[in-house]
Amino acid sequence: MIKKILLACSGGFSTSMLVQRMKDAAKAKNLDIEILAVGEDNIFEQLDSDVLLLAPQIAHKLEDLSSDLDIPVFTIDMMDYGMMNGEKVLTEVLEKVK
Amino acid sequence: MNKTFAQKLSKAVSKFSGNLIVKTIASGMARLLPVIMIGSIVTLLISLPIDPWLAFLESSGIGSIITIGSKMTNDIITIYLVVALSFDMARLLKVNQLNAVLVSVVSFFIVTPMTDAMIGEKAAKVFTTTYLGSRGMFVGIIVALLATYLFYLLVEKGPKIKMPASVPPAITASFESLIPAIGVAAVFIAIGAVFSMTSYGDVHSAVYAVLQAPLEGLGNSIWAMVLLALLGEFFWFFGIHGSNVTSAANNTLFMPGAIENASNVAAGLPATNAVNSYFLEAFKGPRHCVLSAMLAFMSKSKQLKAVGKIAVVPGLFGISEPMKFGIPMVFNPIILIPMSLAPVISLLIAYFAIKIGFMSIVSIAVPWVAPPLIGGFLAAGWQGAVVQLIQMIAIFILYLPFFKVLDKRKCAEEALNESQAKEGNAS
Repeated sequence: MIKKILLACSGGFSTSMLVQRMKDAAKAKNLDIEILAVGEDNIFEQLDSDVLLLAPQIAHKLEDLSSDLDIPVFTIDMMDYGMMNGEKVLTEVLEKVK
Repeated sequence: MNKTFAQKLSKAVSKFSGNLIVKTIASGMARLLPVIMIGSIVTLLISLPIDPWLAFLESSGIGSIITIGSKMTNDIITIYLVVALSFDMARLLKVNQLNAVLVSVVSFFIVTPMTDAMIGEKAAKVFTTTYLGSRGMFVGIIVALLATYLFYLLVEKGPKIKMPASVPPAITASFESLIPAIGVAAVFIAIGAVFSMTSYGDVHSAVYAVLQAPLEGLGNSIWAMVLLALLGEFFWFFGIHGSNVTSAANNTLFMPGAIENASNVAAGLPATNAVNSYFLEAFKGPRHCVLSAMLAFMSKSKQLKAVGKIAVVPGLFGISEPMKFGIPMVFNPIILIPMSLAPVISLLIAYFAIKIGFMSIVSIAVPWVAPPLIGGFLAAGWQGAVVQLIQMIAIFILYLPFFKVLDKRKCAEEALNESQAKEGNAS
């Protein structure tokens, strides 16, 4: 079971908006998951996370980070990101990582 | 749109921004923010355009007391730069960060000349801020990168002191960075000696003449800045965070000028570099605020209105991602033209305002999240706010025709989808 989801974008600003909506979605589902947004430079300080989600604007770092980190790394769909669809992003990541 | 080109571009960007040097400069320089903000607050306080305040600072002597906050940041910025860059490079290379930072600072001072001075009656050797401030930044960058990398090489591949097995492991570990540290210092002592035999006399003068002075020419050019801004938007079109690609170049080219301005203003001298990184941050234009407001309040399309509602508050703080991916602006040829031209026009308006003497040269760092008008006011007084207002109007006019086309198309799409859905229900 996932305990901690980490989201990263360039400075951690726009991901923090999505995190807020994912937290609301988790609350509605009665899930106890820590969800956190950071800037890409601070990913390495949060390696106890179970999964890392990259904002689409830094999707080009996917390969680099996947090989550097031991946790699964995914990119967030552009449209879901733009519309800040926290519920869908949360549901999808819960399906992908079990 | 040709997807394979986008994939190739993404790969190339991945390679470029994943490059050790680019990565180090991009994240290391960003880490200087707390230091820069200390200096900037002092600069802001002593240059607020309010006469009674300035008279109070002068008469109470507080003005000259607080300039220490700028002297100990801007005037010796290169020391902090060496620390930050070495710290980040060591993190990326996974070597002991504190040791790498210490060795880099030592190396920097090894190649930094001391000057003879008289302190009272006594002769002394001193470090002058000439080499420790903005003029030394290039040497700082080169030394930090080189020293840290050398340290890493020697730790990983160099000779190691072999200890008998009975020596506790912690003791062995403490010896492990000794040879690398001494090795790096020896290399820099040698480099310093070699340069002292050249006509330049020392590393700082050589780097300044060969590298920094020519690059400063570029760093003073509004066109270089505009071109980098344009390049950033080009990358955004392909869904890649633009400043992710350009920030290393922006910082290297335009930060020394900004720091020099801040030093000068705190010392009571005029700022001279109109084009600098503080100027770029403050006057790249309130683009996201304007476009998100257009979406929220002017669009007829349901989708655009929905995006606008999400984007309008973050847009005030310069955050554009909901629009970039929600409209989307990414891979959107209609939006490409205004998106690329908005920062170009904004920068040129602000530059023009400085050149005609309306707005003062920017020497205060205002974080890019500062909302428009407030950001402009903090950076350059009421004139700065006026310039941002003009930028907002220009951006609005620039976007309007493209926005109308986009809105019309989205409405047509939505109407089509709706009628199809109805037909689907009917049948």
